[in-house]
Amino acid sequence: MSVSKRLLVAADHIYRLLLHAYPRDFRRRYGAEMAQVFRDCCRDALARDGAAGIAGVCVRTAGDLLVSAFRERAATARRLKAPTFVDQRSTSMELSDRSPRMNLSFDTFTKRAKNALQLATEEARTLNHGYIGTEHLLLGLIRERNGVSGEVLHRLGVTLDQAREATQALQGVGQYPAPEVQPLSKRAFEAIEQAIEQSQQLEQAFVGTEHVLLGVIGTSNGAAAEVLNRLGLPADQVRAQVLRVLARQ
Amino acid sequence: MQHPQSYLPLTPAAFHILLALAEGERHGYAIMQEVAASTGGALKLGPGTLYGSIKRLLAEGLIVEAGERSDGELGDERRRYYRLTDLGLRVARAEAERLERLVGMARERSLLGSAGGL
Repeated sequence: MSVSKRLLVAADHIYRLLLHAYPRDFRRRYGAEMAQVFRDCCRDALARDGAAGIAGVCVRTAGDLLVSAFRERAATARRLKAPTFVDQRSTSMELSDRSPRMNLSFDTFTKRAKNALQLATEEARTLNHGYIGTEHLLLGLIRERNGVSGEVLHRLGVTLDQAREATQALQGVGQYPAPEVQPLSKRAFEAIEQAIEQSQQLEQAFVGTEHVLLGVIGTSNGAAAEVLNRLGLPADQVRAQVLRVLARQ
Repeated sequence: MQHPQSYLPLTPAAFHILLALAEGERHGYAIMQEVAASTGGALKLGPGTLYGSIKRLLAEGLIVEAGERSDGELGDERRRYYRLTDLGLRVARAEAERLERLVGMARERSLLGSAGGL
């Protein structure tokens, strides 16, 4: 192997190790492309200026790595403080064409309801869907088994596998991985608004999974209602069951 | 849809990436080369800055992934291409207009030659 070839291999190897300075998600998504670009830079610099060219690229890239790794880590830390689905811009984007009642607040959501929303983003991501729709909210509610909604849905015979299958049959799987921030679809947004309203109407201090479920099946023509339909469960039947459970409490 | 103005101002890196994509789909290294060439080497985006900006532009819907294929000039290696969205184009235009107004103000205050001459 020639000296220059060895230099290229070593630089590539070192850069790929240094990629661990970036947050894991960022590295997984962009690490391979970044290493590819770095190799391109080194190869062209070598052809132009020899070993000194590679040294120049390495110095510049080290500076870039320090600054950008710090920025990505800070961004990740900010995101972890708030649930990922409550991205400021994406929710306000959904909201801007709608009512002036702007900010969705998730403060009054129970831990289980928040968890169900988080699980919904995971379900959307698994399907490479770049948005969070009512169908993903439904999957999140099914997965959060300990919530009232999880209990209701399981009692009605809904299984996670069936619901996932029906969702996939209805919406397909995206060709590319979902972006890091998935905005709420208009209907999912309405479902969450309805969940908040339901909890207020029932004079409850918190928004629980049962309210989210009522909101999800309450939106007209939502994908969640269609998924339930395909599982042989009309929305009315689910609603009646939720209200029965609530009445018992 | 969100008004293009609400995305402004763009970071220099983001604006240059949108400009590089205004001429068509490009992969990461081609974007980097285009930015370096069009700024006379003044702006050299490192891989971290480049992909950090690409990540944010994707999240905001200003660009999208346009599939993977090899770039004939750079060998067989497959590369992921990126493309401007309609929104991205309108945001880039809005940013250019914003900068134009700023330049106009600089002219009025004699920081630059008058609008007519140099």
